[in-house]
Amino acid sequence: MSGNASTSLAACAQLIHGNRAVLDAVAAATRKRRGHARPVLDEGIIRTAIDGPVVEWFVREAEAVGMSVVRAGTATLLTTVEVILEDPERRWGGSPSRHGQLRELPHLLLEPDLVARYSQLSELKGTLVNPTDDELFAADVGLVGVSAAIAETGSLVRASGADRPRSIALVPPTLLAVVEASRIVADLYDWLAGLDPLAMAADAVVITGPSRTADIGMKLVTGVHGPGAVHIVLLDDG
Amino acid sequence: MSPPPAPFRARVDQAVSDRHLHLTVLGATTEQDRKRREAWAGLRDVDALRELARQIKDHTLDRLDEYLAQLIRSFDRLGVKVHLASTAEEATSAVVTIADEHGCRRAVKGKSMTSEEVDLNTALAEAGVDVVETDLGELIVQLDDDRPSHITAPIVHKDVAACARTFERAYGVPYNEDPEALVGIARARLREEFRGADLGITGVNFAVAESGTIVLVMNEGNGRFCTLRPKVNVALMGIEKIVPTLADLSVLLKLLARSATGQKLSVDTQLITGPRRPDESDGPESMHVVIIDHGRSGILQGKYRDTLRCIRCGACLNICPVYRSIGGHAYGSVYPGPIGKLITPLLTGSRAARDLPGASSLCGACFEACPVKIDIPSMLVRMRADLAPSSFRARCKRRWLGVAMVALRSPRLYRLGQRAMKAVLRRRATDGWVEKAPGPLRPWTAAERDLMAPPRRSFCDLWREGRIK
Repeated sequence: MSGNASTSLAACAQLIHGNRAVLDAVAAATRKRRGHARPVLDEGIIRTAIDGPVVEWFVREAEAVGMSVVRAGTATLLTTVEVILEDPERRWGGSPSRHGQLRELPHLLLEPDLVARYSQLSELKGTLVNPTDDELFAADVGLVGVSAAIAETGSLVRASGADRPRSIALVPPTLLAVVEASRIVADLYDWLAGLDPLAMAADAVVITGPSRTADIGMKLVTGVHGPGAVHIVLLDDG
Repeated sequence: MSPPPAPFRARVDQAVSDRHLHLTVLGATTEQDRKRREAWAGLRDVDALRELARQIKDHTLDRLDEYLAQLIRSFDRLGVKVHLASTAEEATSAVVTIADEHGCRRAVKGKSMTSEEVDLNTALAEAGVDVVETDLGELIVQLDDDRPSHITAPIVHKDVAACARTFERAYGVPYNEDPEALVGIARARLREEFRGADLGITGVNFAVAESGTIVLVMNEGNGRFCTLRPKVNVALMGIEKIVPTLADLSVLLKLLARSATGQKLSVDTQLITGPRRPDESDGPESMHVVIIDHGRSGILQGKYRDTLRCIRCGACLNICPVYRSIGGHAYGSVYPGPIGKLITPLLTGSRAARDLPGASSLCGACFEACPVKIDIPSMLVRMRADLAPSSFRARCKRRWLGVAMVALRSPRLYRLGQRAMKAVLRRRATDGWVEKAPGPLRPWTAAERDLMAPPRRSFCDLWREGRIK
């Protein structure tokens, strides 16, 4: 088999720029196999021990990494989001100095994909329509949906797409995410092993808490470049 | 006549005498190590998971030709341009050429040890490309014209006051020791950089062969910004960063953040699979990956292959008594600490690095802290033998150790030697201590240590006389 492999590596020479000698060097270095077979991925080893019902587990872990969780039903989604937006403490993550003036009515970036699924959200006030670049960078809150959530780590998974620009979940200082309970998986492994390697989004981000650093004096500071406050509206859809 | 102290030795002496540095590094690394242990304890069976991670990496390295071919084909399918580089110079010139071809002049850069290894920033500066480091620690390193001293915590050697002075000097802001305020300043500055940059440069934590996915793991959000606005992205990776499948990736991701910072996952785990799609409104228009050999294929072939399993978590640095005492700069290499002692001589082959494997007590802590079970202590011993000098002095030393070995194996010769030693040392002693020992014992007392003179009657004497039971 190693003969085939080397041939296939050599065939890659057409696909690359730069120094093809790297291909030869790797082929030479691996000519003699050392017999490390592909290991069996034992889920019993990989998966974190299940800690109660998956939704409650997710809520606990999400809160543990500094995100807030509010539960809502489809009927109460709009008012729940409005209540969060009207609460300045929630909006700024407790550090207004870094984000400039506190606006009475937050400027909101709304993910088109989410509005398509929950049309009632189009009633939200302060939504920026076709924002300019300056408006994008001055926006207060980004409201997005998720493609999955992971219970063991309390993470949100957001995949980019036509109606899911990356900037909405990154540029504004506050991130608001609508998470359907049915999208929560127990383990990071469940999410990754369930993806189709040939149909990946261009950009999928697993977000686990507000952006943070401890570089300066080992002191934890939240809200560096990404959102400093992350709020989750957990939608009971099951 | 003793030779002049090696530069490494001099750096260590300097670091050891810097009490402030020692306490800063000790405090930070102790805390990081505590967090790692706590996070490991939360896993179902951490040793089984580490063993699985080891097997995945070993298998990947064993068939790296196949997985490299698969990765290149995946990148090609996605429209990611692949550049291969044998040397550091080829790597940097690939990035410079990419910048030139796209007319890029302002780069924002995420944290990348590989870019440090090939000294990318210098090459870009010479080519007239402005580079701004966007990881907070790396930014401060850049502003200070310093070097990172840790794989994951680049300014672990600096306290808050040092960072405050840096900001005061570089940005002309009032001196302020509040980390919140300093982060706010960096945020405001870097927002402008993120908006204006036309080139985004990042490292690669993992590259998934089956999907062509580049995985970036960060906490500050800077990696996502580097890959958001600039029209061109370049990612730098060593050939050892490949994992075969997305399922394999989950195993390594579960260990990486837990081992590095004690988090279950870092804040941002970004899976980038190709440039922006035609229907997307943001993200890079073109993507390049520079895959770097720089000595790795040589390591792959030899007896130090296990070092290529390293996922750069920094756990071995945090637990290492030597690192904790001297910090990262004393090593004088891009990769410090236990793993650095191994890979630096391998990657650079430089004479200056040959002292590094000696700087270990072989206590084994790094082995126990390694998420992919690299047996660093055993390889350090092997490398010491490989790098042992062949000077006259060294040959004499080896000869002498050969004699000692014979003596130590024979009780009769041992007792004879002991008696001779006792006679010599007791004659030279004052108040029970020998200040200048003769012969092979000389180095012991040369290093500002006295040698305790042997007592009149040895333990063996007392034992034979029945005075000890």
